Amino acid sequence: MFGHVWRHNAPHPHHHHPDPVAADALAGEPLSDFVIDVHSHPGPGTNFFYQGGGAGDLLRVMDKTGVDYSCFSAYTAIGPDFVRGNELVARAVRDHPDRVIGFAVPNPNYPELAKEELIRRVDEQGFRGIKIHSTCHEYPIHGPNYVPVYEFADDHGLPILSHTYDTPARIRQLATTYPNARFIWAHAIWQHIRTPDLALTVRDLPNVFCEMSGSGNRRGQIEAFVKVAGVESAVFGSDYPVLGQTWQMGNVAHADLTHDEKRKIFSGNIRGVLGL
Amino acid sequence: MAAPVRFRTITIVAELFDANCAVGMVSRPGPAGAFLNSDDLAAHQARFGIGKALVYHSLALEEHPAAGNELLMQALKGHDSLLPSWLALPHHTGEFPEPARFVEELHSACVRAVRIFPDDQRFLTDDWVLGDLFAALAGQVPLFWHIDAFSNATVRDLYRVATNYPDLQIVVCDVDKMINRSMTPLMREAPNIWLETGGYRTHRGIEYLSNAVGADRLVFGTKLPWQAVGPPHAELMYADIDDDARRAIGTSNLERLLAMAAW
Ligand SMILES: [Zn+2]
Repeated sequence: MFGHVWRHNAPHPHHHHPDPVAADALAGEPLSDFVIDVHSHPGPGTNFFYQGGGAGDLLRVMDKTGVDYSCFSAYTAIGPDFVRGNELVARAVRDHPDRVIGFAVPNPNYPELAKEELIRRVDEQGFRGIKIHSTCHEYPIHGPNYVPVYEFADDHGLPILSHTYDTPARIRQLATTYPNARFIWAHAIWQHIRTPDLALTVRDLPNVFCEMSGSGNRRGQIEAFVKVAGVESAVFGSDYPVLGQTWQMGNVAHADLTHDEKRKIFSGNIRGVLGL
Repeated sequence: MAAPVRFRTITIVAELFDANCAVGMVSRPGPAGAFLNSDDLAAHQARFGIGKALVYHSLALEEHPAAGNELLMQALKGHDSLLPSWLALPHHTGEFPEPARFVEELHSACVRAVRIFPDDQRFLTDDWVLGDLFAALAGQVPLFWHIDAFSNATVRDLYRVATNYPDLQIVVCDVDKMINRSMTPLMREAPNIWLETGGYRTHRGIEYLSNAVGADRLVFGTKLPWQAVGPPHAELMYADIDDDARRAIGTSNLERLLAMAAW
């Protein structure tokens, strides 16, 4: 690989002893650890362009990065058409059950249809999680139309991937009201800088995880979150193709954490929840 | 697919060249802080195989270029692998030298790169504000143009300056992920525009632009100390491009840009 080419011409090599996952990332090799990406949205870019983005394209990227499983919810499902989007993911789950985990999207603005979708996708098609996007669907996470969604997740013991932008008090209330549901708060690790209460809140909630996808990328941020919340509260998600899958993957791989902590973030904390 | 535990020691060649990093204290660092001296900056970069860097001083941005540019030269003393870059301002207020004199100062200090932060430091890039500086730098020193947001207005500014000064080499710095629809035609129309990749976190972005406009138009950067190195490093190392292209983006494109200055 590339790293090897450079090693060959080493004028003044610096000796450094990265752990195995950091060594993989330094060389641009597929990560050899078991890795689950809990956050991805197959589909074309709407408000901006990126190359590819379809399910097959995302799988090819996983081959390069060494991500074993990605949790798919369609870009169009968190946008205009959640039925069409869920159908796209159903096909990917059917074609690649060993790489793709389906997360069904309910749009709370269509409550009847949302309920039908959850039953169909989870009970009949093997989806293993739910994705909600209260910002894109412009509906508060504590609104009444989300109650059946939380109850469904609680009944089935499913993870719900959700954008945060809400208070730690609300997160605690949801987590304790629906103890069998698992809440994965997307982008939440970046909120720790201005909302340290979030990390203090989730550390005591075993069914709550925080994920670090996003453009924010302050140096030391993941480490600071782990220090307060505990490593068990952190899970890897990239939000690709909305961002590169490698963006936060590189962040975790090179974080000032132990290899064991990185393994927990990359898959150990969440694989049981996903039945893997 | 759990892999067996592997033990290995790899030797990192200090070879990457960081086009976008700062030394010095900053007002809002991340939890890991800033680099208060050049040793700490270089040591951190070495962990990622970054052996050279084009550095500016944080105080040139957050206090004033007059102070920061001078502090930079003190901070970099004895660090051959850390190359200085100076921030420029418009000269009309008297707070910054006129362009001809500024270029002389660059020459005598052996500084081969200039940066502007028009959004942060509140100036237009129209000819009646900055035209003299662009003319003085054209064909002499590359200009690293830091943007706050890749807005339509900024894209128009970049297009206008690049086409009005075809000998001015412009490296667009601090972009975000949403640039492709304008950046693609901009870089095709203006062969004197380069892109610094530190903020370019677009899905398959480096691969896309390498194919669309050429890998010789991209330069690797980190945005240290504000941003972690892992993400932009992984974007480059995992990009689906050949090793020649990776080496060009990682090192040699920037070397070539900096070789332009006659001094
Ligand atoms: Zn999302």
